[in-house]
Amino acid sequence: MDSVETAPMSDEDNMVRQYKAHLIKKILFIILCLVIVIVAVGISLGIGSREIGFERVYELLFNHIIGVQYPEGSVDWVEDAVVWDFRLPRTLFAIIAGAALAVAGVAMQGVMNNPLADPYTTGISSGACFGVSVSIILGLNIAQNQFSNLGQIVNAFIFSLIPVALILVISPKTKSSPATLILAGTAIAYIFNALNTFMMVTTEEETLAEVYLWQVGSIVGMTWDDIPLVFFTTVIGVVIIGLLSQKLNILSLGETSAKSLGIDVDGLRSILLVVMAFMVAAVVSYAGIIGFLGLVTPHIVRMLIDSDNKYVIPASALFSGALLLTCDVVSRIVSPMGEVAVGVVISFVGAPIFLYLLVRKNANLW
Amino acid sequence: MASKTTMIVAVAVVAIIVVAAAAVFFMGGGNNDKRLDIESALPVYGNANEDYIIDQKDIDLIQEIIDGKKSLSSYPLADANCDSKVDSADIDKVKSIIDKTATTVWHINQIDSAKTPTESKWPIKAAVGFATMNIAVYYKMLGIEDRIKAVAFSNAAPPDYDLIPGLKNAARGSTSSTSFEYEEASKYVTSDGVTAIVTSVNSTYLKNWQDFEDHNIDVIRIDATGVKVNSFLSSVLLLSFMFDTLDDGKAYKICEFSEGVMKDVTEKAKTITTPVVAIACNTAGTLTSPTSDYTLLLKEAGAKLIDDSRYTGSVNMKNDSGAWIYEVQLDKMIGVRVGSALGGSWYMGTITQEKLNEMYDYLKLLNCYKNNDCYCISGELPIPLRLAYAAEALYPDIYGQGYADKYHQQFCDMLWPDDGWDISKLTFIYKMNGKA
Repeated sequence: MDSVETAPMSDEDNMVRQYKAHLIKKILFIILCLVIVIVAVGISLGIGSREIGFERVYELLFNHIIGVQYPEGSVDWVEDAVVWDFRLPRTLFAIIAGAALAVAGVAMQGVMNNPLADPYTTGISSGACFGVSVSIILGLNIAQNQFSNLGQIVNAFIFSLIPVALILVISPKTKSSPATLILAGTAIAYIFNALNTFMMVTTEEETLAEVYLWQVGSIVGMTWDDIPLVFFTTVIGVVIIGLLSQKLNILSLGETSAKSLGIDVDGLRSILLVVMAFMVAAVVSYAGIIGFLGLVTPHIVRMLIDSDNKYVIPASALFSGALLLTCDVVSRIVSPMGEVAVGVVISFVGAPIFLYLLVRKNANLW
Repeated sequence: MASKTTMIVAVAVVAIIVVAAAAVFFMGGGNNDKRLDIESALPVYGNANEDYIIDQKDIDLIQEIIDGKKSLSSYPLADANCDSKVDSADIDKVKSIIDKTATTVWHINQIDSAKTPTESKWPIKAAVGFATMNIAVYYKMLGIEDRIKAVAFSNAAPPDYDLIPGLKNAARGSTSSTSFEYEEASKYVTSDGVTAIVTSVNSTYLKNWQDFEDHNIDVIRIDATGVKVNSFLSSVLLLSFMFDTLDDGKAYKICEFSEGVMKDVTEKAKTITTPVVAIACNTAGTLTSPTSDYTLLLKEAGAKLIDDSRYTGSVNMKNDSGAWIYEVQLDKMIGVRVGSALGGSWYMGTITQEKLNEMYDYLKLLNCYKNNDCYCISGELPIPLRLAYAAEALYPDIYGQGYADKYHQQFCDMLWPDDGWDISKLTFIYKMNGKA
C-alpha cells in the first residue's frame, strides 16, 4: 500500500500557524505573570517580622472572609490583624501600583513615540515631590488632618497634576510635537525641582530626611484606606488605555500616518495624558516616586511578546505588578525593619534583568 | 501660792501643746495623705481634684458633684469614664484604680498641642517604646526599663546603655528614631504581653499611631522634649501611673525635686539685670529655630532670643545663608547633644574636648565662640537638670560654677543610689572650644 503523502504546507498556512503560536505565547506569558502574582501574594503575606506559613496565610484569609472571630490579643487575632490589616493592603497596593506605572509607561511611550518616555515625563513626580515638601517642610496642606498624613497625600496628588495641566494648556497653543511636549514636561519638572531643592536646603535635617525618604519610594505602612483611590484610578485607567490600544498601535506608525488613518492624534494624546496623570498621581501621592517600572517593564514585555499594545498593556500590568511585589518581598527579607526601600530594590533587580534581555535578544529597543 | 502653781501648770501645759503641735507639724503627721507639696497634675480622668494622685479625695469630690454641690465644668477630670456625666460609674472606676484592679482608664493624650481623652488598658505590665534619650531617660527615672520589651532608635543615636543598662535586654524594634511598625510590635504582644507603646507628643513620632490603637496596643505619649516643667512633671506622673509605679514614690520625688530646682532657677533669674542674647545649636551645622525646644529651653533659663527679622527658622552655618548671624549681637551659644552624637558617653566621662572642638568648629567665626562663650551640655539629662545646666552656662555669675552639678548629684543619689554616680568626677558642661 502506498503511504498517504500530505501536501506541503503553503506559505499562508505557515504564516497562520506562526501567528497562532505567537498569540499563544503572548497569552501564556500573561497567564504566567498572573500565576507569579498569585504565588507572590502568598509569599508576601507570609513574610515579615512575624513569620506566618503559606498555608496558614490562606487559612487566615479564608477565616476572615467567612467572619471567624478570635479572642482579642490571642495569637490568632494578632496574626489575622497582621495578614489582613497590614500585609494584604501592602501586597495589593504593590500589584496595583506596579500595574498603574507600567500601563502608564506603555501609554506614555506610545503617545510620545519615544522609548525613553516614562510616567514621570510630564513632570508628575516633580509636582508631587513639591507638594509633599510643601506639606512636610512648610506645614501647608490643602486638606488638613492633624493626626494622619492625609494632608501630605492630597498635596502630592493635587500638585502632581499641575505639570500635566500646564502641558495640556500649552499643547494646543503651540501645535506641539511629542518631542516638544517632552521638553515642556522636562522644563516644568525643572521648575518644581528647583522649588523643591530650595525648600530642602533651608530646612532642618530631620525634615530633610523625611522628604528624601518619601522621594525614594516605599510602600511600607499601606493600609486599606490607601487602596480605593489607587484601585479605581488604575482600573479605570487600564480599561480606558486598553480600549485605546489599537489607536496606540496606529500611533506608533507616526503622527502623520495616524492622522491619515483618521486618528485624532491631539485628542487621543490629551485623553491619555489626563488618564495617565490620574493613575500615576494616585500612586505617587501614597508611595512616593517608584522608578524603573514605567520606563523599563514595557520594554521588557515588548522584547518577550512584541509590540501589540492589545497584549502589551495587560502583560505589562501583570508583569510590573509581579515585579514590584517580588521586589517588596525581597526588601522585607533583606531589611525586615524597612531600611531598604522597594524603590532601591527594584533598580537592583530590574536593571540586570533588562540588561540581560538586551544582550540576549540583541534587540533594538524600539 | 495656789495662783502661782496654777500659772506654772498652765505655762507647762501650753508649752507641751506648742511643742507637740510643732512636732506634729514638722514631722508631717497632720495630714497623712499630704506627702509632698506638688503642684503638678496627674492627667488622668478620675483625678477629680487634679492633684498628683487618685485617692479617696477624688471619690469625695465626685460625690459632691453628683450631689450638686460642685459642677463638672469646674472639675472636668471627675468624669472618670469620660461619658460626659458624673455618676456612680465614675466612683466605681476610681475605686477600681485605688484597688489596683485591672481596668481601662481615660487619660489626656497629647499630640503636638492637641489634647484628647484616650482610653488605655491599666496597668501596663509590658510595653514597647522609643529609646531616643529624651524618652529613655523617663524609663530610667521611673525604673521601668525592664518592662520595655522592644525599642526604636536610629543607629546614629542609640540609647546610653551605660546609663540605662536595663535597656540592653530590650529587642530592637525599629531602626528609626520616629517610627515603629505595628507588625514588629505585634511579636511582643503575644510573647511578652505588651499592651502599650510609649512615644513622644511630637507628631513626627509614630505617625501610624492609629494602627496601634486599632489593634489593641495603646499609645502613651509623653512630652519628652518640652521645656515647661509642669508638662515634664505631668508626663512623669502619667507614665508612672500607667505603669502603676506611683506607690514606689519615685515619681513624687522627681516632681518635688524638679519643682524645687525650677523655683530656685526662677528665683535666681529674677536678679538678672541684663539678659544675655543666646541661641542653641546642633552639630549638623545649624543654629536652631526660634521655636525649637532647645531655643525654648534657653528662654526658660533667662536668655533673650535674637531680635532680628531674619531669624525665622534654623540658621545654616555651613553656607552663606547663615552669614547674617555674624551681624547680630550674640552673647552665648548652647548646644545640647547626647553622648552618642559626640562619640562618647557623658556618664562614663568619655566625651573628649578634642571631639567637641572638632564638631563645633563651624562656629569659629562667631564672636561668642571667639570669646569662649559657647557651651555644650548633655542631652541625656531630664529637663529640670538640663535647665539648671543651661542657666549656669548663661549666667555663671548668678548661678556659680557647680550649681547644676549639685542638683545633678542630688538627683542621682535620690533615684539611683545603687548606681553610685559621682558627678564631681564627670563633666556635663563643656566649652565648645575649650582646651583639650
